[in-house]
Amino acid sequence: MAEEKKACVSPVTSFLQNIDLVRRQLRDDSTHRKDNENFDAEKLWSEMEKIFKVISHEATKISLAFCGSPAPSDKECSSLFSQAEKAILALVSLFYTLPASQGLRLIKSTKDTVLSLLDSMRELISNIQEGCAGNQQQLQSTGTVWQDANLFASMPKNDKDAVVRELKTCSQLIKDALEEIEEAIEGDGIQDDLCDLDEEGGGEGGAQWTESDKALTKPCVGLIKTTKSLIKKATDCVQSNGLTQRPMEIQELDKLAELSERLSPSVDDLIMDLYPPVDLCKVQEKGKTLFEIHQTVLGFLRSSHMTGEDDQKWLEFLLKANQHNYDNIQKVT
Amino acid sequence: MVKEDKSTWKSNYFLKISSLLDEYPKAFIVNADNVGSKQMQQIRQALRGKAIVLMGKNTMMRKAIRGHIEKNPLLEKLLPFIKKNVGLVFLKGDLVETRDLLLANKVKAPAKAGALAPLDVHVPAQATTLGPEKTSFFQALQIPTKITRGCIEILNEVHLIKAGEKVGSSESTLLNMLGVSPFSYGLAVEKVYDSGTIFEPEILDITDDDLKAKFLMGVRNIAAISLTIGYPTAASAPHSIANGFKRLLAIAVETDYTFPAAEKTKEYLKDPSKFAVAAAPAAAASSAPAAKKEEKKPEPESESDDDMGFGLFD
Repeated sequence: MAEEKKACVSPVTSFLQNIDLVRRQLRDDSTHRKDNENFDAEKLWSEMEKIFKVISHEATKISLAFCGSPAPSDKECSSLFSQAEKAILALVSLFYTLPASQGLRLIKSTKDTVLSLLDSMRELISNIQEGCAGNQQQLQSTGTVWQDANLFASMPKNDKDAVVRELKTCSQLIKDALEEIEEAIEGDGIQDDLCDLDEEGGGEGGAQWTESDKALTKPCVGLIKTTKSLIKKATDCVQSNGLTQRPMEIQELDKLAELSERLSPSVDDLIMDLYPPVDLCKVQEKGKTLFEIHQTVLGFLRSSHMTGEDDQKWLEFLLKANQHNYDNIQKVT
Repeated sequence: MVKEDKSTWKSNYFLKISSLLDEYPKAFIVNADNVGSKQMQQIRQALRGKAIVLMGKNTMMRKAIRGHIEKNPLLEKLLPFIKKNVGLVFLKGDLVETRDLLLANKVKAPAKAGALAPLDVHVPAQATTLGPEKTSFFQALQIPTKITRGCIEILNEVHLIKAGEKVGSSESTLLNMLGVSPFSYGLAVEKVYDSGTIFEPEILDITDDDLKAKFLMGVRNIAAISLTIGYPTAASAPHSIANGFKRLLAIAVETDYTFPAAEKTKEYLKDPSKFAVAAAPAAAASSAPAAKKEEKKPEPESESDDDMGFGLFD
C-alpha cells in the first residue's frame, strides 16, 4: 500500500504546484482584465455555479478514493487530479472574464470566495500528500471544500450587493465597539476578569477613569454613535438607491466602500486610547481622524447618486452631530 | 506581582497576540457568555500544554489582528467574527481533542431570571422537601401539587421553560428551591480557524458515512442526467442494462422468441399455478392480464429510475 501511495506522489505534487501557481496569480491580481461590452453576467454566474459544484464533487471523489485501502493506482490518481485541475483552471479563467467595469468590490468579493475554495482544495490535497489520507483531518478538509463551494449561493453577484455586504460587516464591528465602550463606562473602565492576558493574571493594571476622563468619554461616545448612524444610513441608501447600470454609479459604490472601510479601524483606535489612563493628545488625534472620515463620507454621499432630496435632512443632522462632538472633544482636551 | 502600567500592558498584549498568531496555525473563536472567571481559570488549566486561551477587549483584538495582516493577509478572515463576547483559543494539535476538552469543561448553572434558555427544562413528577407554605409558587406557575406527609408533591411532569425563551423570575426561583441547575455553560466554539481557512465547528465531526452519502448523491445525479439525455456513463450503465433487459423480456413474452434469462418468466406466465407455492401471496392476489403482470415485475428498477428523475429536476 505504501508503494501504491508513493506512486501517486507525482500527480499530487504536480497538482499542488499548479494550484499554488494559480493562487499566487490570483492573490497578486496582476492579470490585466479586458473590458467586454458584451459581458453577460447571468451566463458568468450560471457557469461559475456549475464549476463550484464540480469542484465540490471532485473533492468528494478524491477524498473517497484516498479514504481507505487500497490507495488509488497511479493511473487513477492522474485521472482524479487532472479532473480537479481542469475544474480549477476553468474557474480561474471564468473569474478573469469578470470585467473591472462591473465593480472593484464585486471583483474583490468574488476573488475572496474563489480563493477560499482554492485554499481549502489545496489543504485537502496537501493533507493527502502528507499522509493524512483516511483520517479525520482529511475529512475535515473535505468538509471545508464543501462549505466553501456552498458559499457561491450567498456570494454577491453585483457590485451593489458586494458593497452592502461590506458595509453591514463594518456596521456590526462598529456596533460591537460602541457596546464595549458603553459597558466599560458603566463599569468605570475597570477590566473584567476574563480579559486577563494569561493564566497568571496581569490584567490592565486596575486603572480607572478620572472625572476629567469621564467628561472626555461623552463626546467620544457621541462621535462613535455618529459613526454607527452614518454606516447604517449609508447601507440603507445603497440598498434603496444604489445603481449598477452606468460606470459612474459603480465607481461611486466602490468609492463609498473604500471610504467606509476606514471607519471600524478608526473607531477601534479611538476606543483603545480611551481606556484609562487616558492620553489626551492621542484621544484628540484619533478623534480628529474619525471626525475627518465622517466628513469625507458624508460629503461624498451627499454628492453621489445614492442620496437625493429626502436624504438632506439626515446628512445635515449627522454633519452637525459630527462637528458638535468633535468640538466637545477639543474643548475637553 | 507588580502591576504594569497601561501602555506597557497594551504593548505586551500586542506582542503576545502577535506571537500567538505567528506561532499557532489553528484557533477556535469561542463565545464566553455565562462563563465566570473561576470557570475560565479551570478551562485554562484543563487546556494547559494543549492550547492557550486569549480573551480581551474586542477592539484590542481587532487592532492586534489588523496590525498582523501585513505579515499574514489570511488573518483578515478572522476580523468579522471578533464581535460580542468572544475569545480565541490557540492550538497546534488536534482540533477535535481540544474541542472535546472545551465541551468537557462546561459547568452546571442555575437558570437565572432573564437569561435565554439554551434548552427545554422539564420538572418531573416528584415528592419535594418543600413545606406547604410554598404552595403559592406552584399555583402561580399552574403546577398541580398535593401535600404528602407535610411536603409538596408535584403530580405531573411540567414543561417549565422552553428553549430560546427568557427565564421568568418565578421559574428561576422554583428551580433554585428544588436545587436544580438545568443549564450548562462553557466556551462555545463559534468558528474554527485553520491556516487561513475559517469553517463551522460541525465540520470537525464529518464522518466516512457523510463522505459516502455525498458521493452517492453525486452518482445518482449523474445516472439521472445520463439516462435522461441518453449518454451512457458508468453510473447509468447498470440502469441502462436493466432497462434493456426489461424491453427484451417484454419482446420475449409477446413473441415466440426466447433466451435463457426470459424462460423462467415465460414459463411463469404460461402457468402461474406452478409457482403458487413459491409466490403464493402475490400469485393469489393477482388477477391482472399476463402482459401487465410482466410489466410490473421489475418494479424495483423502475422505482429507482423514477427517483433519479426527480433528483434531476431538484
